[in-house]
Amino acid sequence: MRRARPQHWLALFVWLLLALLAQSALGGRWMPDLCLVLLISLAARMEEREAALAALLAAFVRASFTGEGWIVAGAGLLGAVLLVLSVRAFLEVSAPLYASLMMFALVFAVSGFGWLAAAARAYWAQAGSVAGPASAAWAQVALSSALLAALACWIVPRLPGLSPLVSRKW
Amino acid sequence: MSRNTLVILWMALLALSLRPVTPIERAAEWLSVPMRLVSALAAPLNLPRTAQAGSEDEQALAQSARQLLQREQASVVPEDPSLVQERNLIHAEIIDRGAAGEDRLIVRHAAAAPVQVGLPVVAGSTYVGRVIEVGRAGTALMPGEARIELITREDARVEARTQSAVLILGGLCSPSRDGARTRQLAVHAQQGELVPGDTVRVGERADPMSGAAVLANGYTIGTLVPRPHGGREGWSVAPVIDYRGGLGQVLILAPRSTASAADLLVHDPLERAGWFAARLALAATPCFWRETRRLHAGTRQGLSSGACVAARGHYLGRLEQTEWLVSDVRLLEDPGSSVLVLADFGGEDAPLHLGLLHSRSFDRATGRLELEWQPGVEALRQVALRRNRRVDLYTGSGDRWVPAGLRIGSTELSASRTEQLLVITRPAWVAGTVEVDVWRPRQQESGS
Repeated sequence: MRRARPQHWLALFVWLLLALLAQSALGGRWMPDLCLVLLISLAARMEEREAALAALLAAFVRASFTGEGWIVAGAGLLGAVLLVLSVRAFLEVSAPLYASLMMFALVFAVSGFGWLAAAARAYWAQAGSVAGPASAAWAQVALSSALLAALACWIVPRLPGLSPLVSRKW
Repeated sequence: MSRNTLVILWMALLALSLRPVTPIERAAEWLSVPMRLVSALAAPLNLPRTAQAGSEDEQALAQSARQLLQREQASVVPEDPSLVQERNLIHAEIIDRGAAGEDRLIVRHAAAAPVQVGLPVVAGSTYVGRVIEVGRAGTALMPGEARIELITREDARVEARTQSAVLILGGLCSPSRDGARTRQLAVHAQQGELVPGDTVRVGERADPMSGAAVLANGYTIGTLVPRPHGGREGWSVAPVIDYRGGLGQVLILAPRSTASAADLLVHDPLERAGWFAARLALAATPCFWRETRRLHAGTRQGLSSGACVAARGHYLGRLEQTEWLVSDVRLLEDPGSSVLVLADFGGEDAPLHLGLLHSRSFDRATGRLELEWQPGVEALRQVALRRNRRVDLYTGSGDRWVPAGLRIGSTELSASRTEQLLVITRPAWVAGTVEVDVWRPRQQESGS
């Protein structure tokens, strides 16, 4: 087992940053959730502790681009990673089909949680209601993310600087 | 770190997400400040977008917005000459609806105007309330500001008259089956014969105890309606205007002096002096169902949370959170965001305040924005009186952080539906622009 060094975390930070920059700059209806795809593709083959750290790092980077704080982003992404860690015990989640199916579900779960947190915060702040995302937009992002995940499970571990982070095989 | 530790950490984050704890939120904000600056790295990606922003004629838009505001201001001057005689009319703009409760509003007037506590406040030929506090240096209200109390407040009392009766009224009746939308004023005492449909006007006795209240005599309050209560005869007054959201400009009635109604337009909200030019970090957000942006300016530039963000005369949204160097912008398109809206029916018609509208949904691909409007019966009656139902929506008065007269879009109003979804198609460049202006009211006030 190889141990990740600071430069590998720096590489992950840069890749997350690039993913979010591309996602924010390009936008569009069919734009996949690149940050989530990158994180889950890695987490499927990372050590538990490092996968959790990667989720928190992704939450920090993601929070710098969105209005939601890193606590909400962290809860969403860490929850997604914990789910992957649990499921991979009995399913090959880095295989294209399962990676796609899992990503499809996770987009709904993470976005749904973000909406729930925003609604709960608006409730406590007595700031009115927060309407949820349109189901069509939700499905489009989930579908494009799922398709990308099928490729990403093979590409992401081979990205420069990230291979030492994916030290395990299932 | 074991799986159990991770689960405990996750559950803690989960709980803090759903029920924020202020000290922890504040600590988290401080912790994430350096990370928030990384969005500045995206600035070069926005360079090609600069030229795309805004193809409409900004000058023409500003001109039509000014004309709209002038028409709105002119509409609060009574048409009946007898309501103007022996009085001075001091124009005031509502700048804060929520800070002092629903029945108390803060207005801004010319600083030199002789505003005093107790002076009546009207809009057109309709009685609104009275001044209860005047701003001074060193108090919560600044000079040139005043707090007014609406007639809808529970302890407000006004002596009024119909053709054949005298009434004491004030405050709202308890909610009926229709809920809060048919808000009627409560009649507390009556003398004489009451006739349904009679017009109720202010009729204070001219004695030393009444003070300046007599200046409102003759101004309309509403129409008399029977309101049986518990098997007994009862009465209430259906108001002429929507006190919740229908007010933007008012007149303060003062005894005759040097001030006059000509002192309209205390501030020009479209003046450049009030705006700070800034750039958005990115033209979109990674969170597909939100419409928020990161702004490359913060408290260091004198920006405050809640401040309006606009681009070329179009309303974009407001600052939700400001830090030293960066801020979060919540666009109007973000689900749940809200704005006070003024509807322009075109022609010479006086504009109508729709009150607070909430964003329900936004389609990025088509630019289709749905705003939720819950009109009161008074507002629906006003819509029914207009021939043209197609309106242009602009920001309205009532929020000191959002100047009136910024364009939102065009839509169609219904005169019958009590819950309406107003569909607006926003220009494509509005959601994608990166060059914006942020409202700094204090700078604008000191400069005017």
